[in-house]
Amino acid sequence: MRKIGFVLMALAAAVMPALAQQRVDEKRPASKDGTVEIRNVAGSVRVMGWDREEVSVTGTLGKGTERLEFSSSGKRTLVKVVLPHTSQHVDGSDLEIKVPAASTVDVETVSADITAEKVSGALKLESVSGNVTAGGDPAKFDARSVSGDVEITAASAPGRAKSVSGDVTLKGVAGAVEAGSVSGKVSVTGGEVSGVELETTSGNIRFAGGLAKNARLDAKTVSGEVELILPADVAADFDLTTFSGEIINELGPPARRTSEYGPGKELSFSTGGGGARVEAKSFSGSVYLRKR
Amino acid sequence: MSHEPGAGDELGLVRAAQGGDLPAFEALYRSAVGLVYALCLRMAGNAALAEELTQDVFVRAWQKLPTFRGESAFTTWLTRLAVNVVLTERRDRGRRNARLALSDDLDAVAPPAPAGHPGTALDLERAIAGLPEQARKVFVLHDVQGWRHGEIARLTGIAVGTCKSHLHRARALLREVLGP
Amino acid sequence: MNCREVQALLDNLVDLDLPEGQRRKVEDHLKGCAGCRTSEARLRALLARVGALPRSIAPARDPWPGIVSRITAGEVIEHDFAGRGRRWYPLAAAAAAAAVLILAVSLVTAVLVGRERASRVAVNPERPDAAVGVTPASLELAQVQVTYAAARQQLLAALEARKGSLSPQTLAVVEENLKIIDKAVGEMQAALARDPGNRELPMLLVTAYRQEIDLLRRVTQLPSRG
Repeated sequence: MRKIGFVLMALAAAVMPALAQQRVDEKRPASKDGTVEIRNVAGSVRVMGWDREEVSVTGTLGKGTERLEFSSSGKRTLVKVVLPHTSQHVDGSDLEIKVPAASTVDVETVSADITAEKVSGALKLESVSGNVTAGGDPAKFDARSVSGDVEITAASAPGRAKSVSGDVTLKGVAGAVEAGSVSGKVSVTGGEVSGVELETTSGNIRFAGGLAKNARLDAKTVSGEVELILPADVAADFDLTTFSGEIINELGPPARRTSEYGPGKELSFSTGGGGARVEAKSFSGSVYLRKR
Repeated sequence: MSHEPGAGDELGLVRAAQGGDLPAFEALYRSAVGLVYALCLRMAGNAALAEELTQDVFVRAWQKLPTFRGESAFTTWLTRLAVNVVLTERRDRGRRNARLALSDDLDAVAPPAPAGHPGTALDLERAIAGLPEQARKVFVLHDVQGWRHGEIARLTGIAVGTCKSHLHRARALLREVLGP
Repeated sequence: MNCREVQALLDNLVDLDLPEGQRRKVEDHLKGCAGCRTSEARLRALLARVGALPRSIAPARDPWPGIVSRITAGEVIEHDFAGRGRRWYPLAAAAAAAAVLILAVSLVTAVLVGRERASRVAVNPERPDAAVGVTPASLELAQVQVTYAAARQQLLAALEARKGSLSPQTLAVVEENLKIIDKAVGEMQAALARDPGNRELPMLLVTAYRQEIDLLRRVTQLPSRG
């Protein structure tokens, strides 16, 4: 009798979604440079690179989660929080995932925040309303959110970071990067960058750093303000235009009007013998060139 | 309307379009749409259908562009694709009676007749459009496009002998309709 | 050979499609038969007229807008991540098509930048307002606008179709930011209308178009409950 009861209960537990939070602690072997795909709707995802050829998942699955899918095929490992098809309320799952450091990491969430550290492979991180944060030394990155903020601290990696209403912050940049937001702020700081493209519609743009020889710095906005903070001895050719904003220049000559009849201002000049190229264009926002 | 790109530009445009560059594809379209439309119009026998077919041809060309490897001129490849599209045109499009629709359509699109021969070109286009369907298709491919019977047979699925007899019939009918 | 046989072979003759033996027999007959010679001449005259037909005919209506519409509507199907592409089939296609637009827009931007720089150089430094004639950038811009309008329409329809599967918060953010971009586009278009010679505005407009398409594309690719 008791045995049957036990079996029935075990069966029941197997088919019903977790009624309470469940702890997770699983491991699987993985290629040292494979791909790890992580899918979690809500809660949080924290990815860390380590030196084992293993993917380890620890954390808690939220109430109502159907199960954790943790499987692998060839060089791909999948970590996915599976939710029931019914639209009953489900709590978020908080996962900490350790991956071989050279992995390519591909994370998608809806509201879960994403953090990735110590990964030296490529990072592809996407959320809808979650914040995306990454650090370490990835080979390249592609980080996006819709309403969340994106912050990448990644020495010398090329990549792209975008949000729609969130702020995008890139720190320690040295390579070729793109950062954009529609209404959020875009802020990039770095050493000597080689290629930076910044774009917003109404958000402000701020760049503080140096320019490598032949670097390109490109900032475009409609109504945001552009603030470029560069070393006083930078060697660059500047090309700044605004349709109806102001241009304030601490590095050289003042701007002149594009025509007697319109409000536009433009400024083309060179410093330090030229070399790098800086372009800033705005419609109604103002452009500020400042000395570091 | 058409701007003919040189061979070098054409390859450049094709490569760009293969990579997804829509303006490059549009440039190719502008230089070839007249050729394609002329083919569709003569093979289909009416302008409204020919316009739809022309659209189909370019939409298909966009999809198939990655398969073009430059072994022939782009227009040759495109023409072949166009013939394919015209020949596999689905019946459920609604068959329009070529003879009925013809006069209005051709008035709108036929080129002006050369001076001294009023109505000549128009008469010929009309006469071609009035041919029975299979004969018309074979005639256009052989006598207008310059294809050989072997190629026509392969693409249409009609036996070579049958092709030749369609051609014979088309030419005979045309001579009859057009007079001496 | 008699006339009936020769008449049957005239097509082959003019098409150079007769074996040597038959060809000679036909030509011998023709030498002595005025009736068949007339038939041959009429056939050649017909073929000459056909040869003189124009190679190209312009359609009465330009099919291009229809073509662009069908291309951007996703008659090109691309594969997205396994499962996702299949699940959002029409939307992924629209998103893929918009990717095409973004590429196209980047190319046009490059052209506009190139032209704008070239015309800058040509401007007389003594008289900066002596603009260099009608800006050729306006032609490229017009092309981009057509392509952008088509892609935008498709993507907005895709957004509409999946509104129910997006969270209200996300939807609110998306709609608010679309409004911001649309307002920006409106202001710039108005400015361009008042100042059509302006060389900078086309570029900024194109940037705004690209941002809008980017946003719409992103939304069509969002997972549900997003």
